[in-house]
Amino acid sequence: MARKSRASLLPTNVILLQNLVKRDPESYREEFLQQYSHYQSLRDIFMLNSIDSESNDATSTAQFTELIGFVSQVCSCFPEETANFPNELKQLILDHHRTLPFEVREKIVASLTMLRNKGVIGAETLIQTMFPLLIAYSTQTNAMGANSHAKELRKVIYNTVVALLKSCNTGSKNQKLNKSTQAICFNLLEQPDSQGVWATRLTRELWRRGIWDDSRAVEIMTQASLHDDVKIAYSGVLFFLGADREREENFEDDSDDEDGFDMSALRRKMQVNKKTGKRGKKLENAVKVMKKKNANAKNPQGYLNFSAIHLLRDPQGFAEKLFNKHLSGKSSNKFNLEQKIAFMQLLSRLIGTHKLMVLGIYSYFLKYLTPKQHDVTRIMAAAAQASHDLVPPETVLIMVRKIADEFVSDGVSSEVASAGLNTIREICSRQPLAMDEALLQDLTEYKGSKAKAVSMAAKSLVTLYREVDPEMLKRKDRGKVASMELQEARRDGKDIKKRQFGVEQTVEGIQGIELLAQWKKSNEAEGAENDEENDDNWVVAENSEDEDSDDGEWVTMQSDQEYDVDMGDSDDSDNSDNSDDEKEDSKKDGVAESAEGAAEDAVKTEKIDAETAFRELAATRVLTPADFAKLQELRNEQGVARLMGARNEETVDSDALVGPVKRKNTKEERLQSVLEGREGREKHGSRRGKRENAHSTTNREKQRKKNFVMMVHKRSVQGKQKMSLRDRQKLLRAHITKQKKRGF
Amino acid sequence: MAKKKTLKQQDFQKKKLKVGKAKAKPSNLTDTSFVARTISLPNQSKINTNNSGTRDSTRTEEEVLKRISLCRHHSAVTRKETLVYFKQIIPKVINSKCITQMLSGCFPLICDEDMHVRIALLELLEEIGEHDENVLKLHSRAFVLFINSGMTHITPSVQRDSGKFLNCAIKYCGDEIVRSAWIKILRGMFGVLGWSLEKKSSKKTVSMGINSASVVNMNSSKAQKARDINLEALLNFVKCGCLEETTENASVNDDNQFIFDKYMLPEFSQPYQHLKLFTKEFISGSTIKGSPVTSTSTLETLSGISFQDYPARRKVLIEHFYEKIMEHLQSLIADGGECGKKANAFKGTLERIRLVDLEA
Repeated sequence: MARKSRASLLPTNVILLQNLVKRDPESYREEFLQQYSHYQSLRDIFMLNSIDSESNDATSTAQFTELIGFVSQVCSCFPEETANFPNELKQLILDHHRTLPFEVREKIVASLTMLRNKGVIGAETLIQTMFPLLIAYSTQTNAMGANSHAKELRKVIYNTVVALLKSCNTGSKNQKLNKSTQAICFNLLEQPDSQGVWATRLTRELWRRGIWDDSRAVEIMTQASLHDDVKIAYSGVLFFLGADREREENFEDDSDDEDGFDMSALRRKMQVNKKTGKRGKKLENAVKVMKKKNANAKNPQGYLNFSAIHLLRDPQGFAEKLFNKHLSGKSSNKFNLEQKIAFMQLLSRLIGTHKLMVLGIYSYFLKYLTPKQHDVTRIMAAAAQASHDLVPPETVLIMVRKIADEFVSDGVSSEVASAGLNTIREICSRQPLAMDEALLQDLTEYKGSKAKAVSMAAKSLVTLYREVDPEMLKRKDRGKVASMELQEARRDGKDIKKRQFGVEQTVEGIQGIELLAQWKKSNEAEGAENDEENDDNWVVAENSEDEDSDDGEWVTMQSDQEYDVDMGDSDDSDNSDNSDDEKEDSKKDGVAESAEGAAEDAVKTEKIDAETAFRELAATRVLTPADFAKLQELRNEQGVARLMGARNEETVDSDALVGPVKRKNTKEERLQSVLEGREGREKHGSRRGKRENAHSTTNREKQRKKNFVMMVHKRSVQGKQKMSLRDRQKLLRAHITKQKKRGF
Repeated sequence: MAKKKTLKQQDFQKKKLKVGKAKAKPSNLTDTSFVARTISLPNQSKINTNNSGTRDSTRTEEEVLKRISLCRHHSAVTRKETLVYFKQIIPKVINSKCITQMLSGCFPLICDEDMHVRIALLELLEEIGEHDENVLKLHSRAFVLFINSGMTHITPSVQRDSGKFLNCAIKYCGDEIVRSAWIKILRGMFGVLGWSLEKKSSKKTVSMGINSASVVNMNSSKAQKARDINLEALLNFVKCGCLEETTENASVNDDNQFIFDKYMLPEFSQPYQHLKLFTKEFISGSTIKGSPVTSTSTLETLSGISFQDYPARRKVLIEHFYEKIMEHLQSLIADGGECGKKANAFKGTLERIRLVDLEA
């Protein structure tokens, strides 16, 4: 018995030994050394047999992987003895990855990752091991080899790299590692083969996770977009088109997955309901979760929220190269339509965002702007985005004319016409000068079209030009305000300011300040006391809130003393937040009311010049953030923002260009709506002969159903014939009254 | 029921032939429409089918190749019987091609968990050595690797038995083993005997220099018997490596002999093996060439190097192992018994080696 128990202490398998070694490395040193040399001998055997892989049977492979795992688990306990071990693993997988079985390769990758996590090897060593493997396994020759499991390995390695970079960048960014990895990516992209796909994939993934957010990452993708290889170039373009949205979605998902609960409701419950320790803890947990959530939402890993397009170093050069290399050059044939459209979209976004000059693209668009063209709405959207107010109007006008000729005519369907009109509107809202009077007046004729989408589109064009340049419109289209302005100007003999190409609309002072001044004036006129009263109200409210929060603190202290301080704090801050909110709300309400008043008065009060307004306001008071917010609001009301071309960064939604399309419902949809109506109502139809609730036959029913022959000779039936007239009359009368009582 | 019946009847109804339509194919038809010149079956072992004649020897060779996979059978009895069969058949196949595959299939069984399998394997190897020791010499590399793997095995019984295999190896291909794996085997035997290689001075930890398995099993009769065998194996190994048989070349002492030697056929097989030109081996970080024994070299750096001549081997032995062996031998001699006698003999041998080394 004693012998057995002693023997059971012996480490007879590697897992057991690993446990023992980890607990007490010094005592089990000899065993470890023995296993280490066993690993070495197995490694040698592997090298010997690797020529003919079939002799490596499953058991020896399993042993070898087990030992690799063991040594890498415990090698942090014996740093001196195993100093060479990580290097050996690295060499083994780099030099002999072709001949090793899949399990061994996988194990080595996992072990190296583990060694990195334990701090035995540096992150850069791991990256430098992984990248060559990633590339080696994505080339054709290796992938085709039997039993190579190239796909799985690529997946494993890629995930390892991403996880590594993620873990190295949590907390503070590891710039050194990032730089070296990015350098590897650059090198990959410099080679003409398709290995650069990995660089783009990695960059995209890390960008999506918010790990890389600097201009170097964007520069990698720039290089990728200009690559000769179709795949790489396309993935680079897709990055610029979709990466930011992906990133936002990623973070939104993160924040959404926590179950949302109503903090204020919880607190309210806490105050009203019976106080128990459990509830208090619940609240405390909730507060913690909330704080964590807020912290996460605010700044996930400290990433900068710049879009990739904004981080470009040389947008003009990039756009030119992109156009010359991929769209206009000879090599454009290797891209299919989908890819070309992606290039167009990217280019147009670049041009629109940075106001670049790539004049070739406008004539390039002409080729594609026909109604029969596949995916033409996307191309039209790109065309609209590519125009901005610094492009010479003649070049854009060619495009507008082409659209008008191709899309807006009597012979085309309503969708085509509305798409054309909408596109023209979008273009003209960006470059209003790209239009001549005759064309505009032709186009506005369509506002009388029977198709709703077309007439809407034409009307929107009219609205646009009412603001931009009413003179170009027909007299009846100008509208009340615009024509009054024109008349006034004519009466005064002033020249109406006409837009001209190249004349920048510079702003002195603060843009739209006259609007604010006007609003202020009307506000003052309406009632100064009102404002003051408001001010007083705020102060009072604040005080009362404070008192409230004090009360709350006192109550919670009574209930449980362990966590009252924390709660008190949170209460306090939240309450103050609330009070802030309320303040803002009340202010907004006041503002809205007065704004309405102002709108009414706006016509009456004389117009204030921008310069005088600025002087006035700047001299009298300090502009607060609230004032600026109001200013923005007012400017939006006026539509100033749009006129100034601030919309440039907005993307044009290609689906919205067609306008509202009314189509017939399919059968399924109709059926669905029918079924929806039926929900929750009884079936129609007669209720006759249907019982309310189950019961046996009543006596009366039995009587009725009785056989006629059985009944005919009974006195009750025979007697009816012999009844006197008087009795019969009585009976009839009684029957009638009975029926009446029943309600027939 | 009725449905079943109709289904059954359908089977026996004759299908009517229709004009203009192909005849219906029977359900058990084999599809032969594919055209392929070769069919690859990568999972099956490569069996060379060059049996032009139905000679007896080729048939036995095929039989051997078929049975090699049985060496990896899960049942110990099957493995053992396979080895026994191989042993019987050795005289027929000793000079055929299949012997290489057979040996590469059998060597891993040195680390087999089952005792009977190991005994059978030892008998098989002895049999091969009896018939033609050159076969073992050719495969000495793999043989040494597996012996080494056995010496470091975690199961104590496998570890203990590795001495027997080493004895066998020394008997038939001692020279090769001594040349190629001098330090490796010495270190391995130290591990098997439970002796520590640690230098006392450099030791920071309070290690007992002995592992728990050897402590627990120290006094069992099996372990003592095994220790005898292992000690003997080590003694044989050291003798084989350090003491040259001074038979004929004592008389030859002129300088020209040295020059001629380069152009003569070498005395031993595979003279350039140590250059490792055609072997696949793991290259550890340091590759030291030239004079192998320098005062600063450590055991770790030396283990990858092969020692081609006697003086070098002696020097390494004396420099790194001599004191430790002596130390352990002292205690064994003090214990006495069979083991003590052997230890005494070992001590004598070591002293002789030392003297020879001092002379040189």
